[in-house]
Amino acid sequence: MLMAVLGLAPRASAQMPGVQLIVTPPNISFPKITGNMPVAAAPPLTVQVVAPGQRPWRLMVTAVGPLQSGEGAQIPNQQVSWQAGPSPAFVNGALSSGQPQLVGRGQGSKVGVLRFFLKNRWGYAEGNYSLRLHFTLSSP
Amino acid sequence: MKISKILIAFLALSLVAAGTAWAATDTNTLTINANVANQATLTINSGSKTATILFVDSDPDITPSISSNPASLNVVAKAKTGSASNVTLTVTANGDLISTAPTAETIAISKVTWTASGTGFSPGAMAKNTAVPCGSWTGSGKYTGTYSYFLANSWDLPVGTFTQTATYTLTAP
Repeated sequence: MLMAVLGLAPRASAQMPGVQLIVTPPNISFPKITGNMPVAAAPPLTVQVVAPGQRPWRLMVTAVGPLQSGEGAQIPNQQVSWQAGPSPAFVNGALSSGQPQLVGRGQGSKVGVLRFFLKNRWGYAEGNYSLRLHFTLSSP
Repeated sequence: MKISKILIAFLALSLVAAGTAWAATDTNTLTINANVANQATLTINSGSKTATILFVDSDPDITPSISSNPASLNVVAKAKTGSASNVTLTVTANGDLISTAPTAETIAISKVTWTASGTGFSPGAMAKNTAVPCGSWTGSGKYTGTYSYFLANSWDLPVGTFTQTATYTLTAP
């Protein structure tokens, strides 16, 4: 029985090959927001998950603050959403202030496409805004 | 028997511990950019760019101030500008009220006044070739209000069918 207990320890500390995340391009821009356009759509983004074999993974995205202009005006990042595919690995969602949001989960290497959308509102102050997103790929 | 129970418990704890730890991670940072353009859009009379009001002749002793028909026009002013910028709405009458038949006559456009409702919308009187303020706001937004028009009636108004145009201008610096 003691040998069985010791047999678990090597499994818990085994060196597993890592996972890799590649998001391209590193910068995207919404088209100029004008008129009564209800939503602005950014160019598509490619998300490549590199995971050996059938290794499970989970991909989350976290917004670092709101969309902010050089003059200090802000657009809440809840106004930003995305559509993702292919499902079921990659899922649609919307940003939440400071809260990681699920982008996808699966097993093995996968390539997905994300497209971000910004709702247009008359309350937005004129200006150039930027927002940073952190994508985090995790695997046990 | 006692030793077996302890072993099972240990195995269960080890499996639980391994299942909750995400041991490998990778991160990427994406920068998203957006440009909100300066913009001003004005509509009057339910989304139109033009409107017509009519003052019907009335007995000055009974109706010293003639209400327009329709009684009011709704106005929607939309602007995207700096958060501290002043958005203004003005109206400029392009002359006095003019009639050509049966004779050439004029009525001073200043006899046409209006009242206003809605945040930022203000009342006033028309002025010939002069921009009269009729609305003011700070920063971007969609502002909705109404104007109700009146013609000061009197026995000394000349006879005729009078007309004139007025131009509303919305400015978002």
